[in-house]
Amino acid sequence: MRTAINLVLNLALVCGCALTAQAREEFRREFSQTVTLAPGHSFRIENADGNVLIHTQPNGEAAIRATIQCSAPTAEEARRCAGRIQILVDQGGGNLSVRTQLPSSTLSNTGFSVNYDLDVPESAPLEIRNRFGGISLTGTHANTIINSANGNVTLSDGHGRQQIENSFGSVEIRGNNGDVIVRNTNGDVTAADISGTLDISDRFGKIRVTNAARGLTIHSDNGNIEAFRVGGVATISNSFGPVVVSEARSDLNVHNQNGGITANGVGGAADLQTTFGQVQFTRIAKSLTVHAQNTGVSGQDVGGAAIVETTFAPVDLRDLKAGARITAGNSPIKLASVAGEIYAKTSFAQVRLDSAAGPVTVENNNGSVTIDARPSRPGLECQPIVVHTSFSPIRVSVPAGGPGYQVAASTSFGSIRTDHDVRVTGELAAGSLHGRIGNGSCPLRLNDQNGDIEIVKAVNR
Amino acid sequence: MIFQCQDLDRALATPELLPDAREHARDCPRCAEQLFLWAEISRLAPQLHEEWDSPTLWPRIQEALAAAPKSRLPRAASFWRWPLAAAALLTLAWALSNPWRSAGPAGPQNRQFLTQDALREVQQAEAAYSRSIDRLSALAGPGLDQSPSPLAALYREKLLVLDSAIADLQQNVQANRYNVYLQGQLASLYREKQRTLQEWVENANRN
Repeated sequence: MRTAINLVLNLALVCGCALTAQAREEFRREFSQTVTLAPGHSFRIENADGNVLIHTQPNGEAAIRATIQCSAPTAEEARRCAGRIQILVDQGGGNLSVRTQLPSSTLSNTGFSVNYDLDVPESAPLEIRNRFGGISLTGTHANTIINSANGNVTLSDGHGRQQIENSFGSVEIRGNNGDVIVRNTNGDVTAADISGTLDISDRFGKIRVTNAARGLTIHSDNGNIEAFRVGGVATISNSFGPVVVSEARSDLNVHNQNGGITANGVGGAADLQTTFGQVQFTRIAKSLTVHAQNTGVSGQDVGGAAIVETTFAPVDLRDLKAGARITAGNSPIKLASVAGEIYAKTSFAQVRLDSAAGPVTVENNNGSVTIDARPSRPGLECQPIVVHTSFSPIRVSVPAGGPGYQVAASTSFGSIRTDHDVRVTGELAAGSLHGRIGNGSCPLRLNDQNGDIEIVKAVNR
Repeated sequence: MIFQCQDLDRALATPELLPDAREHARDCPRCAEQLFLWAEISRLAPQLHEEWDSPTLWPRIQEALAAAPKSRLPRAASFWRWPLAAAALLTLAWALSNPWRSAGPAGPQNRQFLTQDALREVQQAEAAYSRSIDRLSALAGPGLDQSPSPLAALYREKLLVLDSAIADLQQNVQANRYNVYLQGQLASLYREKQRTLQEWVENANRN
């Protein structure tokens, strides 16, 4: 066995040597030129096959260094190939332009690349174009346009307005004091520490944003989107991918399709739309609006009014500081600790309201309704409760010492039961109860068909 | 099992653990990459198999084995050779498939040009990808072409974008065949197209 292992090791060694022995002839030519660039004049570079690496410097000089490399069957062919690749430097009109000129027809059986390493004045506006190679820019203090086709783009420590376009490669921005616009097609986009507005469009790549101080706009089609710590209004659209937003200090608008939405810590209002996903949220300081289909909605801690519409998936919310208006077709609604008015409508599913402190209206069909009414303060004048359902029971708990109720309960093919003291008025019938609890200041209207009704005393917790 | 990153090596050696590893990798980019690379190596390595005459190789190995002192290492110490041999095999497969693996911006700086042999291997790998893509395209077939769903439209658009980019890149590769970066980009586009078709087929099978 040891022999076999040794054989493998030796084969690997021999094969490795064989690989390196197949190298062709290569030729390398260096290009170097320094050009003075007057203040306010721009720098433009255009490359095709190789990387463009750009640093900045405070003075007005642009140092252009390029490495031209060729590979060919013979040294002479490689040298000739390198000789035919030109670096064209032009300073017409004061603006500096650097361009790689490739031979109109390449030698057959050759390979070539041109890599740039540049120092440019930090205040010079930049235009960088590259087709097949990466672009790296560090420390610019001016507006920049970057146009890439097939290469990764990295921008670090920038100041100014940055426009970046790419097709098949990632875009990474590590710090920019100014606005940033990114247009990508099929590559990931990562942006961190952007002091200006940030506008990202991508078709099929992931997007991750961290520390965007002002407005954030993201349009994507088929990528995961994550945004953490956003200072301004965040507007995000996506389809077929989840959207996760954490710690947005202003309003948040998410329009998704076929993807979930998670929003944690929103300082303003949240407007969330999706289909066929899951909406989850916590800590929404102002109002919450959810428009969804086939989507479960769950969350807690909303400072303003909550409006939720969905279908075929449950709604489960708690700790809502203001009112809630919930419409859920064919799916259950569960609310807990809602300080304001509640309107809940669904069908074929249960409605359960725990610790409802404000007025309650429930419209249901073929689903039970359970309400635990808890006035937000003792002696509250009125907490109206209106419930309608069918083919399922209604159970309402109201405090004995709370606001009084004017009871109007009716059902067909069901019974009515209460453990409150009710002063009954009018005709006594099996499926009907009319009377007063306490001072009778508040309406308690319960209407059922084919279901029992219970009005019980709320248990102290 | 509760799978963690440190279990990955064990999972690669134990097929029963691979489902757990894949489940874990859904939320772990690092492990997902490792699993992807492992799958790539497993798929590419057989295609890269090549034989050539080396009449002096075996005699040299035999000679080296005979010359090696038999008691140089205690027998128990040979445990390290298994992982080393595995690592060597993986490294070999990696080296052979390298041009079709790296597509980062640093590519041209690391290694600018392919050798003649490497180019041939790249072309073989490209052909293998093409065959795989053809098979997947046939599987996706009318379902993808005719489905009115927004998802299908999105996949069609993505494939169109990829085809366009592949055509553009192939044109450039024709003029610069030995450029590692271009070949790497082309490989990544083929991989992306393969992955896109696979996704669609898997979705279709699930539904």
